[in-house]
Amino acid sequence: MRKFRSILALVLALVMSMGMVAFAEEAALPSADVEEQGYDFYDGAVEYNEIRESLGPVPALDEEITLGFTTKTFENEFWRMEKEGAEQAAQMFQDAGYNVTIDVRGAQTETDEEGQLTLLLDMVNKGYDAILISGISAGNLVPGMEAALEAGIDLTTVMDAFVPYASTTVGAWHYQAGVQGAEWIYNKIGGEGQVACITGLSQATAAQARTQGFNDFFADKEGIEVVAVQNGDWDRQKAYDITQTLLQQYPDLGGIYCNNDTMAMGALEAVVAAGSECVIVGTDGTSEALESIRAGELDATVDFFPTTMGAIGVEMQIRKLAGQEVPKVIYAPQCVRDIDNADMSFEEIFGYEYAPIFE
Amino acid sequence: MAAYIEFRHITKVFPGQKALDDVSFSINRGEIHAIIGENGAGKSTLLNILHGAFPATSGEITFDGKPVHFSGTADAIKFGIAKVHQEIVSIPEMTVAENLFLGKEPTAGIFLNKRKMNAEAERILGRLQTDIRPTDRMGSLSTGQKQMVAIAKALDGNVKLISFDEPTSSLSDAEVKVLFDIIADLKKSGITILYISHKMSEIFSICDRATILRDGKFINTVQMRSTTRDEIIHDMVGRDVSLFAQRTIPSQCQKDKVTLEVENLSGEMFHNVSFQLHKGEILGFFGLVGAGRTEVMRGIYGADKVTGGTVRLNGKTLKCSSPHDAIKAGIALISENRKEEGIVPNLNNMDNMALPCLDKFRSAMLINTHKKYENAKDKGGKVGLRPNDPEFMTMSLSGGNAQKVILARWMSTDATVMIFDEPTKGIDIGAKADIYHLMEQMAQEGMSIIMISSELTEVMGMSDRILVMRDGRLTAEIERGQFSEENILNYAVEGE
Amino acid sequence: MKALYRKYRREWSALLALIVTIVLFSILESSYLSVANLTTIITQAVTYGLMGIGMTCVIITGGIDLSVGSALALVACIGAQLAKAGVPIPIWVVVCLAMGFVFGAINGFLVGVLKLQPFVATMGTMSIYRGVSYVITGGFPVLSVPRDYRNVFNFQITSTMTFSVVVFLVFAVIMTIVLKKTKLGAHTYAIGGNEDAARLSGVRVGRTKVIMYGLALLGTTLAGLVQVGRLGTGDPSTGQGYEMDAIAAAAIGGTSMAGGRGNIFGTVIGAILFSALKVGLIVMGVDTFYQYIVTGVVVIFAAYLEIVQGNMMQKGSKNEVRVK
Repeated sequence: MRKFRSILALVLALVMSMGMVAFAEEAALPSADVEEQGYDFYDGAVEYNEIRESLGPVPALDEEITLGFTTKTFENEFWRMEKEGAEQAAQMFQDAGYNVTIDVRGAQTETDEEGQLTLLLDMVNKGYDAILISGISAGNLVPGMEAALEAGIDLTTVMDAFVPYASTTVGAWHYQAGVQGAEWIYNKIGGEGQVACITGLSQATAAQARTQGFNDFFADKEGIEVVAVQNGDWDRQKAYDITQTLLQQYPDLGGIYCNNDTMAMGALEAVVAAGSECVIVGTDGTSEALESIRAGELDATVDFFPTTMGAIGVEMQIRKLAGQEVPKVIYAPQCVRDIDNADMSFEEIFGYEYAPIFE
Repeated sequence: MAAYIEFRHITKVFPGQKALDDVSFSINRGEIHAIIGENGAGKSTLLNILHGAFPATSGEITFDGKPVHFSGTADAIKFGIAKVHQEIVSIPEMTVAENLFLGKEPTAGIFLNKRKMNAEAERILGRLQTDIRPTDRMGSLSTGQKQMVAIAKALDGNVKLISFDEPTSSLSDAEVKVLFDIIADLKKSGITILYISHKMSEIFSICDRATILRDGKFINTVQMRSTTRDEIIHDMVGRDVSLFAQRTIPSQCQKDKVTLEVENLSGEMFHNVSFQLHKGEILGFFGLVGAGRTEVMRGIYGADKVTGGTVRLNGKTLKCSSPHDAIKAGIALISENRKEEGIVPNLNNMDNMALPCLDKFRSAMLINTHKKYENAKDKGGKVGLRPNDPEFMTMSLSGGNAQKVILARWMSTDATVMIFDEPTKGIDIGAKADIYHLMEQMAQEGMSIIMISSELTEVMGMSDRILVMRDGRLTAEIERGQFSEENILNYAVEGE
Repeated sequence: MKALYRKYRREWSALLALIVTIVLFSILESSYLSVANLTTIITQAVTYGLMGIGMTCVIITGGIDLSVGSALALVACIGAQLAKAGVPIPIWVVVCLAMGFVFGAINGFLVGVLKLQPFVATMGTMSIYRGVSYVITGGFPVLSVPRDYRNVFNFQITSTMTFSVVVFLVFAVIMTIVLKKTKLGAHTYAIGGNEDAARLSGVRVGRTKVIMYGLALLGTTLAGLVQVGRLGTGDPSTGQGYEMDAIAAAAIGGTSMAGGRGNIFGTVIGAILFSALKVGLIVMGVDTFYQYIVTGVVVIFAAYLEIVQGNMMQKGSKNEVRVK
């Protein structure tokens, strides 16, 4: 019995100390306030387009720096483009005389959470000066991020899985994407009719924010009826099936907003098969979607310009290493692409070509 | 002696069937009491009622004059009525002690108390005078040792009665002897024993009294000392059958025609086996369990790899790399493990029969169900299958009838050599006689038959010639005229 | 009628569940029971149905095929690429089916000849087929498959029904015949029931498995080609998790996971039940979070119904009566 008690005491002490450690760390997390308010609704968030000029030139950086970028699977075009952008930005800095190298590595699959953590831990062990991360989930990188903070390595999240451990997050404004998609549909169908939304995996916060944007936009639009919000699991075939069913039920359906382009392409095929006039708006701006828009098939997509986003992530990280303070949340440029601007370049759309400004 | 346990007017009705019909008899304290009957006579049902597996439809059981009612087997065990199962249920990956205490593990707090468990197991196993250790892995034990563990499991607690359901069906002779010693010991310590077996010799050697059931009805309770085998068998079957395997048709063995010739065949478990099988011959293979008889046959049949030697069928060298090749050549093997290697449980009789020779029932690409059905009806009739219903699920048949389905299966093929491995293992006396007769008929029709058997009476009664094996080698070839128990056993045990 | 009922008692429970589902939804939402809606249900059952038919065959052998989702993606990608390369349509169909058969036969070889556990073997090929899909496409979906190729398995019959439904039903009939009427089918059931006994009865177990796994993957191949037809795209990331839906369709239809038991009719009903449920929940506008729950409940309910019914049947079954 005595033995049992002493074990109990030991366990209790352990639990309490762990609790205190957790408490202490949580208080110190760089973006805890963002987490509290929600990434898409953070009051300190800024759009890159608005602060581009006020940021000023990138301060000089004398020492040699190595950046890591733990990203998601290159099976997915989006992350390949992020990688490309990050490497292009690093090149720009090198050309400008900065001694920067970058190591971009991606997880094996969309669900390879453990493997991604291994990548991050490896980068922490190698003692990189700062690491950019795109976590598969909000939780899978936690041990690696804790190790990074302990080692004094600064983190920047690029696009996905908002985590309070990173001092800066450069990503899409998902909520706004939902609003933008909804608004485009609203204008296209003349402010009247039935609309629907096909969402991604229900537990993904990005999907939730996009869907909320969609719902909020239509909340006060009298002429519009939101007839369905259905989960398509990010899957082309499932989006096709849902769209087929919806068109069956609501032959006059005016528009569908999809949480990503893959589902939009599936929905599009169902619309074509049914001979419906329903408009489809996707999200992400994949090359497939843009090609389809140029061919006059898909109606629109909310483009996140992942190449530019990756580059901005690198730029912000170098600014931080050079001692500049940058906002905790920066929404990268995004806009709706349709037949009118599908062929335009980034510069033609936003009026500038992305490049870091040097002194 | 006063009645200890009394069955009073027990009737059990299952939907569509009366399994027990007004059965009354009693068992004395401390005796070994056999319950005898053919499959379907109601032995298992009676046992299940006694052990609380299900209640009787009417009637009651009394202990020392007081009626007892068990709500389940656990309840019966608590009362002191234990059962050693026919099929030994154990978890091979766990230790003997863990198996013994499965479901009633001694604990300390939330943890298992392994030390106590092992000590207890040691004590119980010690009582059985075995060399099994509590920490042995169950899977590493021989069948006989597993049986010991099963008995040890039943011994736990304040046991008053233990029933044994076909306990020797998978034991070697030596193991049977040990088992009988244990049963005698249990009797000495005041435990009442119920013994269920098909083997008459066992019942005569250890039981005090026997109750005979037939078709769910009580027939008789006899003192073993004052009865004979023939009387009991008459009670069981309701007619006179010969207990011993005896040839009723004169031998048709054609000594000049060799069908199968095996030369220096070697495999993992046997070495340089050579023999010849003649047309119309019944060739007996005798040996102790583990002598390698089954392995030789599996080697010939292509079921196991052989390492050397040749097999010739009708003068042509055979290269069987799989049973498929052997069957094509005309060899059939009837395995001793009817359940594991014979019956396909999800198939009905006609499909089980047609399995090796589906090509026979094809019209173009498709199988003609009607042909299959007719074949099953015809072969079922020949083997005396009851019920002879091609759509009946073979799994639901009794052991003897299931064996008849397997026989019908091979009669459907064009086999000229039939290898029977323990063909009458675990089947009724009536069905046994049928199977012996069928083997004779096959031989008469010109088939050549090899019969592996561990029952001396059977092998002596049926064979034209006997080959004896020991430790993977042939040790003797004995012609029918020279058969004698001592002779054959001697070669099987000593090799000389 | 009674004999028919006895013979297909496991399938009846799936059919009963299907009828209950349709009646329930029709009461809750009057538009559910329209011809157009019902054809939509059947059309959407095609993918899971085709895959489920193959899965049923594999499960009857006592195995499982986890690779079907990946194989679907691979077939869709190669099929789309070949179509874009302009391979003549008859050759295209034959090549795609042959390819699918080979992918399945590889599984069968691993399981039947090398004797790997089906779960492990097909988990391996699941990863390999997925990887190959990414490698040959570079990770990009193969877009704009020409209309002629898309129409092969998917031309419109009515506004809501395509030829894929016919493909589905024909494949179901063919596989039913294979299972019930051919030597291969008889051997398949025997292997699933008792592999050792089957081998000793002369069944070439390895060969049978290779062929059966191959034939089974034809279902997935057809599903892949139907998807290419439907979406006009060969997407290397498609089909993830489809294997579970295929297994569910088979299970609802009364296929025993232990092997040896099951038939195509039940699986077809199972797939349609699945589809009826999905369409119904969408039509009803049920929140997606609850859809998961409802789907799970129905799967369990159908399985339970089968047990209850099995027990009821057993009491009256002639096999339980010992004939004297």
